[in-house]
Amino acid sequence: MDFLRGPICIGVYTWREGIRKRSYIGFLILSLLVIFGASFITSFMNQRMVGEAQTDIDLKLIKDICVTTISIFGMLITVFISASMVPNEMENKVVYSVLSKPLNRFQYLLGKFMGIQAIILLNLLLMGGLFFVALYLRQGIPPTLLLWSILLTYFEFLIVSAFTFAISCTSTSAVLPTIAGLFIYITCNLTQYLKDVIERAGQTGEKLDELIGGLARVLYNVLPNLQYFSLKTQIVNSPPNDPPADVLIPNLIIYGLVYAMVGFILAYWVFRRKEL
Amino acid sequence: MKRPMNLILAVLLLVAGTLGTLQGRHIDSIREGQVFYEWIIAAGTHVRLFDDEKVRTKRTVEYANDVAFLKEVEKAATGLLPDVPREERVMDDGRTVGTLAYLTASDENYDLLFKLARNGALDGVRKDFLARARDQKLKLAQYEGYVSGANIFNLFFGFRQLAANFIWLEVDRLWHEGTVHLMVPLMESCVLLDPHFIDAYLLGAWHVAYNVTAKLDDTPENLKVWSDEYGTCVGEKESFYYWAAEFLQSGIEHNPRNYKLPFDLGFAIYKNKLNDYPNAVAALKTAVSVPHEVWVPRQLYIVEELNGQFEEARAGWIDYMKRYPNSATGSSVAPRFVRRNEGRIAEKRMLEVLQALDKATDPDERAKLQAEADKYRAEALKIWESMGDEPYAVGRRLRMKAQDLIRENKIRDAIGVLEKARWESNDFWDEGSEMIIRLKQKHGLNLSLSEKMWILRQEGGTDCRGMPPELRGRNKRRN
Repeated sequence: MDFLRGPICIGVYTWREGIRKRSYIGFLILSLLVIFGASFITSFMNQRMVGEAQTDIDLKLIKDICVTTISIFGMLITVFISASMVPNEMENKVVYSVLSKPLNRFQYLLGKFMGIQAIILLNLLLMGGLFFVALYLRQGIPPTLLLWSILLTYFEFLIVSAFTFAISCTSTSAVLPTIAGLFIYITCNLTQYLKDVIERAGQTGEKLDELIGGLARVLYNVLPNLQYFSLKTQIVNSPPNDPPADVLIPNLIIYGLVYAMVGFILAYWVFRRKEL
Repeated sequence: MKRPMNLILAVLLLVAGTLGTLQGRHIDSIREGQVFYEWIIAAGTHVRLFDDEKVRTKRTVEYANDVAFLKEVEKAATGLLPDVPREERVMDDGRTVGTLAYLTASDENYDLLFKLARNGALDGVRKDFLARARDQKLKLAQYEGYVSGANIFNLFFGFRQLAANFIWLEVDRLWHEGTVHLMVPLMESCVLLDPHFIDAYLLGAWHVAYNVTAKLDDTPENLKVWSDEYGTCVGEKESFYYWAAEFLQSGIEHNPRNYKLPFDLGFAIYKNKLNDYPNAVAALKTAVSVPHEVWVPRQLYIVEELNGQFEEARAGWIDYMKRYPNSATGSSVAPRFVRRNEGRIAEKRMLEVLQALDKATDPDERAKLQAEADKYRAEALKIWESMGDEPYAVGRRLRMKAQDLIRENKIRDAIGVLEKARWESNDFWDEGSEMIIRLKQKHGLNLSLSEKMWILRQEGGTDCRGMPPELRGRNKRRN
């Protein structure tokens, strides 16, 4: 238990520091405004009726806009927070005084990582909570599938956050890790392309072609695939008890945890070798 | 200390990375199973509801590969599927479908179908499916971005649904501009991006069948031409109805658990626009077979009545009364419809007995049949009288009176009564008009211009230019 006391203190401190960041507050306010404003976007549409019957088209629009808003702004917050926590402390020299306490580097990093996750979770709870209430008020029944969607979004962010965090440990400024974080998000969403490269490789029979195919196979297996998490947008509009979704959700959670562990090990490996 | 720690971290990283890779592969296999499962449901639904081998349309040709491959899958899955007796797999229209297609009818079987799609015994077939889907040989699988590899779907970072919404907003704008002809390709793109966008199918079909055709005249039968695309005779206006029907059918294949699509197909298109009651009954039966709103079965019973299935309609209304005894419809509307159908059943039986009477030669048998016919007649009349001034009952009573007058050879009086009946009862208009024309024709009475035109249209039949000879004389296509 003593081992965790230090990380928890660091985590609380990181959380307090994070929620005071202007970029975080700015993104959060913007996302909340978009979620709130989604209800009004549908007011401009006049196609909500089929003859005499009301359609759910406005509800679908609100759901899709809100899930996307949560994903995009959540991802921006995740990247900015994960990229800036360690470099800022190095820049301000706070890390030196913290590490002079009876706390090793692993505990320090674990605390930082936990604090970052607390901020991401808070952000998701605020955005998801507002979305939940908005949907509940509109359709009259609790949108429980939304909770699964938000849970999956968190595990997607967990992967992005862990790898951005690992890169931030190599840097003394937040700029490079931020760019790298965005790059990670984009690249990991395009991993699916590699599958196509693998399928088509070797058709010409040339060595280079086969080599590219082999490289694509390695990258496809190593890089996390964030497209798996696109299930979060599908389940919001799908009927409950969808057998594939029921099987995929726990597997995606495990996938998120495993890749977060990879990111964290990388972060620690880099950080423990850093000369401070 | 540094070196062992580095080694430990390297091993940890390797272990975690390998676990991640293995988990990724596991998710890949689940997603492959998911795509296969979704295709099985779509192809099974297509076979069950819309695949009529007798009528070749654009859809039956396009989906022929899917139908053939579903049979291959079923063959490979022999032993893995439950035994469903052949008689249970007979559809309402007399076709017998395979077990796999049959199982797609109920969402209770979806767990079983998903397990089947992931079953190791079907690895070969699943790989074959993925290869065919990637090569776009299976029309019903092309909606799944996962199997198409590098394509537009990935560009949206998993936000295909949002992209579909924005396209839909453009459809909305075009609608207000009045450029409806530009809406169709956009609506198709919209459902390609999000095949589960129910309202896009509903609104799209409604726009095309109702709004686009609002100012078009019905095409006279002799001006219609055979359409290979829809497998029936169409004019300009009717082609829009069939487009809407096929748009909804494609929606049903991808969303078989949603009642709104088959309901709109049955009610808004087949019943209201095409007067194709057999297909309307089939579509509405599909709608009530999945979780639905309370008003869905009511339309089914109304269409069953229009289709002459009075016994089914009556049984349906009785069931409705039992299920919703306290609702306004269950307590006041449903009993009226029960009576209506009982009256029609009595009339139908009377007609059957009278037809037997015409053929009978034995005096004893004739007397017996006459008594039976009189019994049914009295029963029907009693029902119509018990319904008081309700227009439907008034129409039926006057019809019976007209038939009495015909039997007494008072033809002009009978025509007068039928004239009154068709003005009293809206439901009786078509039937009454036809009876008047037939009577005038039979007895050589003067026909009005519109009545002459009606006869000409009937003589022309439902055949049209370009119709394949083997289909001439056939009335309506099945879907």
